[in-house]
Amino acid sequence: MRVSAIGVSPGLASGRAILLDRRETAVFRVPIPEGDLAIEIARLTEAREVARGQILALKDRVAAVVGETFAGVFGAHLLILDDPLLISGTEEIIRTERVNAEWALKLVAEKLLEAFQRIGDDYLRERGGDLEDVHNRLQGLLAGERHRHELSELTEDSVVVARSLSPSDAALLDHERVVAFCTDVGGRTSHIAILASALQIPAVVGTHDLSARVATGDLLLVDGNRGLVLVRPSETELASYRQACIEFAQHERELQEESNLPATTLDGQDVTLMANIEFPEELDVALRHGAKGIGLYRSEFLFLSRSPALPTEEDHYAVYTDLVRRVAPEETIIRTLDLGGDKYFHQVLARNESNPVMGLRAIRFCLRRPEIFRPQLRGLLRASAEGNLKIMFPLVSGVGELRQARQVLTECRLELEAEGHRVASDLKVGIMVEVPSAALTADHLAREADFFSIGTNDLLQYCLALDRGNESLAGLYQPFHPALLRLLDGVVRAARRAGIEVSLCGELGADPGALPVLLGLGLRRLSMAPASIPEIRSAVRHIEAARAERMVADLLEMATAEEIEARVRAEFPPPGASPRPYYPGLPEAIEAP
Amino acid sequence: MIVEEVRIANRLGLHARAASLLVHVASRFRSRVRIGNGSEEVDGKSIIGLLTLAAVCGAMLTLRCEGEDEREAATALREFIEARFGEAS
Repeated sequence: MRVSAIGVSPGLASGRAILLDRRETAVFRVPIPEGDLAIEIARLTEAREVARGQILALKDRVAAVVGETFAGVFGAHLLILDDPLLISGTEEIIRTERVNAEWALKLVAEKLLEAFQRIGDDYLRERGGDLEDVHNRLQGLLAGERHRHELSELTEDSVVVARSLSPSDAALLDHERVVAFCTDVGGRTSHIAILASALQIPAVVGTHDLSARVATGDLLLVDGNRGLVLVRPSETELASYRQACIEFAQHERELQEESNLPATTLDGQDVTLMANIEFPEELDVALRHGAKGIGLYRSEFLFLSRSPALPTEEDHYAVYTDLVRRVAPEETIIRTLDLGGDKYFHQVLARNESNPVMGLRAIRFCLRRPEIFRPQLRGLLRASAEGNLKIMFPLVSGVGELRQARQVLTECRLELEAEGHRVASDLKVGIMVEVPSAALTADHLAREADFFSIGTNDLLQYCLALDRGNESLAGLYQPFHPALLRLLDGVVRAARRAGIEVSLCGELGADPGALPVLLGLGLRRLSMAPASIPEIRSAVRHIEAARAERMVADLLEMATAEEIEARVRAEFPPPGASPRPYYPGLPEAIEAP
Repeated sequence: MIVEEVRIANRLGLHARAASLLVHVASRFRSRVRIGNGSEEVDGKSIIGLLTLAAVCGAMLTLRCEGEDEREAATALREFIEARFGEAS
């Protein structure tokens, strides 16, 4: 069986499936003699003590991997463990009804969960999930499962398969025997996907009902490069997989050897490769892969990790200062809050927008909410004195919005200077070009922005009127569509004429197949996921930029994406055997039934 | 028993982090602490209770403290809620 889904963290792995079963432990009512009731209460106390140890350990491990703020949820779990409603309530039921601890706990937890279900506020209602998490943990411990979430007895390489993964599950991904994971739900920006990427474990999400179709112990092949999962593969498939692994390892070694070499084309054009990051913790990986600065720091995480409270000016200042100091002398481009759309949700966003992707999000939202926007701008301005920081506004649709945003920024700067704070005098302020209206008026915008960064994900989706999350449209999502090429060409030309920098930070920048087109358009600054940098560096070193430019002149005259793609493949065949992808995944052969 | 009334002033109301902090403050005292919102009343040392109270910004809470340190408890809790749970929002 072969399942095609979304690869969110690259690499190949094989292992035995470990099914993370979300079904509740079966709980039965057992009458307990009066004299043994104290034993039941002691069992509950003991389970709580073990749970406390597990939660504290989880908290530490999660904090070490993704930072303190992400680990905050476990503080609530610890309070629930000692909650009088839950614990005294359960002890009371044990005593009055003379039943086992499991049954009493279940009765009380279910009654409390009902109370959560009645809450009108979505955010508070969802906090019931924390109670459920703690309840499941305690039930597992009462049933004698000491290592439910520990997996410490794993002796062979394992692939974690789950419907979804909660923060409590996150730490198990940090186990040396866990070689990959697959979840039925989730997207490219789910926290678990980002975590897998930071840990460099192959991961595939959005596998629909995979968790219902595999059993613990089934052999799985996971291709995080192409988002493939093979269940119980045949001998032929296994042989192909082993070959692919050898090639992949070889490929990785070659990339590693090149990591100190400059990203320069065959004809001597230098290309600046930067990293897109979300957590400050990802910076080390980015620098190790040779990133020349941060081309996109997504500040949303700062908001989500403190949700529902909002980060203060000091929070912003502390995080950005730490970041720019570590990246200096290279630059750090920080994008202001891009909340909303299909990516991030937060308490402060309007609910029930009929079309959130085109709704009150990103810069539109920030301009309406100065109490959220200003502390971020003030934090950014103050941090600008500490390193090489640039500010970038997302989803700008035209000159008017840019002027408004700059106006707020200027006000904040004047306030800060009056208060005696230092602010960089030559602070650069740019925009994301990701709305077609911005791309089409790039000449006007280039006069008022200090730099452009092209966001191809949104630009493509708005330009082609395609929801990229919609599977039935997958075939229509064509990065080489003539319309996109024309937009990109216009933006790069406008930037050049105005003498401002232009970079690209969408997923397209991490695609070696698209690289000849991007270089041919004149782009020399690309920002991408840290893990993609070695591969793109290698690809850059095998391309002649002048030839790519001549090719793009022809591409701009072509009528269809298919023609364009065929020409690119013919002109710049991937190295090695022609039809093989640059980044070898499971070979094509095993895709045949 | 001391009874006090206090209005929730922070924008997000009694959310998870505020509720956690409130439990920590209430647990410092030996007195029994009950917190009411309209017809509902819960144990002030229970995170689950406080969350299910679903108290939003502007809600008037009733604090009832009973025990040896009831006066100190009531004052500390009222001041903490008035100070918006120590947050800027």
